[in-house]
Amino acid sequence: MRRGARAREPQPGATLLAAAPRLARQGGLELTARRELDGLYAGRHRSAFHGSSIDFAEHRPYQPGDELRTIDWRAFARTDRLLIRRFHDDRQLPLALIIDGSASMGYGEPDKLVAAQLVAATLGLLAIDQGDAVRALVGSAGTWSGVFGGAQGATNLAHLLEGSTARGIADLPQVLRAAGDQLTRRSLVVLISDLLCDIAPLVQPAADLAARGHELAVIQVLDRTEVELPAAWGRVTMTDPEGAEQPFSCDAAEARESFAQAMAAHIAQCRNVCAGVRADHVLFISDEPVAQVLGAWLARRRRR
Amino acid sequence: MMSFLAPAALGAAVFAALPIVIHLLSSRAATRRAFPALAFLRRAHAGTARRGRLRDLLVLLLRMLFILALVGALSAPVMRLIGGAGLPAVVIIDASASMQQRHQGAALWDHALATAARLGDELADRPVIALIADTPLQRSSLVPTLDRGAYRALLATAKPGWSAGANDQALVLALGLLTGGGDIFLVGDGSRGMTSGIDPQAIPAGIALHLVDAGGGGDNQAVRAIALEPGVAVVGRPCTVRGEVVNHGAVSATLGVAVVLGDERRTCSITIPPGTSATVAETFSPTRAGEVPVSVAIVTRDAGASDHLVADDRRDGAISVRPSLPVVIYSDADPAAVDGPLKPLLAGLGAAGLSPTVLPGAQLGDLGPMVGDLAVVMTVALASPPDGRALSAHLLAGGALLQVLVSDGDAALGGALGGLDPPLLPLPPVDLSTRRRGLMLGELSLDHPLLDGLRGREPLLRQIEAWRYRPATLGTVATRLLAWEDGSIALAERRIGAGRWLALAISPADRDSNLAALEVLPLITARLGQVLLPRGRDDCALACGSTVPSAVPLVGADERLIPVVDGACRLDQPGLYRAGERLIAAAIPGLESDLRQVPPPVGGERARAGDGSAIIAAATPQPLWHWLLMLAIVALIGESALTAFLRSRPPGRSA
Repeated sequence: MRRGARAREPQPGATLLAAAPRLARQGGLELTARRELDGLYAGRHRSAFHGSSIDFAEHRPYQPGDELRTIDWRAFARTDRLLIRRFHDDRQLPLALIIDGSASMGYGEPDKLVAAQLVAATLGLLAIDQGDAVRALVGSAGTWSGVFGGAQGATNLAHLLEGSTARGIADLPQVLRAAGDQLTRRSLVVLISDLLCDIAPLVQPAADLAARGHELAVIQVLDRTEVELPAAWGRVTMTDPEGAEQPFSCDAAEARESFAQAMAAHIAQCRNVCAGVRADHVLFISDEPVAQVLGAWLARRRRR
Repeated sequence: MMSFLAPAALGAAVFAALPIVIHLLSSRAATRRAFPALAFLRRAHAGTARRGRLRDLLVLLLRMLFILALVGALSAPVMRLIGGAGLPAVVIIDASASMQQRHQGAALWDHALATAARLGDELADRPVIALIADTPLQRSSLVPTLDRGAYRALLATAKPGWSAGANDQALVLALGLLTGGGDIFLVGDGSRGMTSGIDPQAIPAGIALHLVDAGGGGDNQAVRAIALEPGVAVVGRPCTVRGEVVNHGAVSATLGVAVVLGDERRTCSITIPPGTSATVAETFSPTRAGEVPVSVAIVTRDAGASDHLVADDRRDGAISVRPSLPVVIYSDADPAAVDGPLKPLLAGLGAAGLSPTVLPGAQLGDLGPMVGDLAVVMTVALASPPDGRALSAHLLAGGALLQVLVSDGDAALGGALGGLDPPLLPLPPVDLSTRRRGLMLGELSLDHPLLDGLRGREPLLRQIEAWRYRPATLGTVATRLLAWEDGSIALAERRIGAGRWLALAISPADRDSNLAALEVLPLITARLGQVLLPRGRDDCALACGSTVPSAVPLVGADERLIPVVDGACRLDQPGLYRAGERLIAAAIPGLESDLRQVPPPVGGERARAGDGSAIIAAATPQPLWHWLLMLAIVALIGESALTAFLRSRPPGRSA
């Protein structure tokens, strides 16, 4: 009996895992690195080292001590010089997921945190499927989880994401600074947040991350109503879930246009800031299909 | 003052709060939502929200205005320009004898009663008391009351009196009844006597006096002022009685006006355009001293001018005529000497009706009580140069001096007159021993009034020989009236302060008697009484009325310039005015009059303007509901237009 009941209980993280699309199974979609990596473990992403991959890197004059099997005899025959063939060394792409867990992420139907969890799970699954290591930082704690990988990694990641709740105020600049300090290997840092804050303080920490060799991608998760104020709301009194703003009453129909302009300007500013630090910016409206948005982004990365 | 005929309807004004309540309720019912992008919404929409709030406020105000105006119209507000609801009013009816005259087919008294009855009806919401201004006073009740029974009963039984009325007493009683403020309506014939004894300045603040003309007086002509020129009358001296006659009527009036001084009566005819006045002037010479009555009266009228008031037809006064002009002669000559210098002077003065007093020349230093402000002082044949200081003061104060040059003392008098600026020059003796004859009078211009008696006697004048004391010139300080052939002065005149000095150098002396001069001197001195007028009285024209004909602007004592309009200057206060070189003593009717009148802007003139209907109309409630209804309609249209405009705007479009 107990055994049967235990068997019917959903495994932690199973719901999120079930909802997260397996992008790796969609043709050609993969998480690629745009920079040379410096990870310890072999993987499928080109690193700054030379190793044993099949990707030819360069010829180098033979030096005593080099293995003879690395001599390119054909080149010797053509040039009468002993040249060593060198190949790229492929390493893992460490994926660092930072999920904004502030109270504002709890807004929306479904709320933006759920959408962020889905995005994070999707990317994590993709990375794990590629054999890359994934670690995550949820909320404003500033503490990274352990590395998820292997067969159980996806489940553990989903379990971690599902356990997060939206509360408090997120200090994103501090989170980025902490990420830069704690990530010792070049990683793909994905910040998943609504970015409904002053974007200027994020510039310096993002630039620091890029300077340390990390690659930053920002996935801005917004609810549809945060882009287009529904006129049907009529006269409404707005309150700030994070408590930083005083309540504000207005007619949604009247405020719709000016608000749309203000939000468009804010999103454009976020995009410009990301471009300034060579970071990807992905706008994800929470009611859009995750696979479509992320697929488009990954395809863009791959083309670049 | 505004009041409401249906004040209960004002309770509906609470509905004006309906839009506010709806606004508050709708505000409370607004959806409350958590919204993370609130900061962006606030920044983007703050300006639009402010404009939206202003539009909402405008709509709110228009809706409230609509409701209030509608409620106001339903409450039937009325406006009174006179008084306020609840304030008491006193209606005084003039019961003087003049109210018995007939006007438009009915007695003025009946008109007044009808007007008072109308006032009682129009002041329906105010306590009213009626006072019949007769002796004794009659009153409808002890205090003003809303009950109109006693009010109407008094009006039904009241009769006009035969006296001058008691409007002033009624007014005093009215002021006592209106200690808390109110209105006094004085119903009368609009005549001057209606406001006799009433000083509008004495009416306390909070009480308004309204003169209601019940009729009559509108076609009235009246003698408004009388005056005498000069102000002092002397037996035998001419004086002019002036009277200002005003035509209050709407048509030109031709009047016969009698001007009376004592027993003498003159009648003249004048035509006065409507709304203007004219002055009649007649000159008399009083023949006896004492109190003499003076009057100006309208004695005949056009046939159609039957609306006048007898009380306005005449103005009376009285003038105390002095027996004669005092003349004091200081001389050391023998009055009895036939060929002396005094004989012809005394003869001339006696012929003019004057009785001079002869005093020794030594007393000239102290003029004494006989020389008053009207006295004429003569000096002749002084034995020694006198102390002239007292004589200087007499001249400066307006006295007159005739200096006859006979002796060295006479000639030195000019230098002895201290205090004169410039001083009279001592007249140097001229030695004519080598040329005793042949120097005759050269200039024979006889325009001066003093020389009126010499007209037609020029051959006689040419027989006069020059005497030894002759001033060669007096420069600009004197006017030469007669001169000898060589240009030296024979008769000169100079104004000194308000006084006048005459120097005569044709008088004979004991050594050089001259028959011609003996004949001429009485003719000159006989005119002294008419020429040497009392101080400041001569050369002044007395103007009656507030409008003085003048070709030049008048300058008041305070240097205020009165401009000329249509050939006349309009004066607002009596006093002396300069018209070029001429002085005008202006007497303003009503201020100089023995009758104190209500100034025209406050009372009399306005009361005369009509039959009181304007005042009654001001006391009559004027309905305002139609204005408020129009305001409500305008507010409704405005609200509808504004709402439609807002609805026509696409949703989400910022203002």
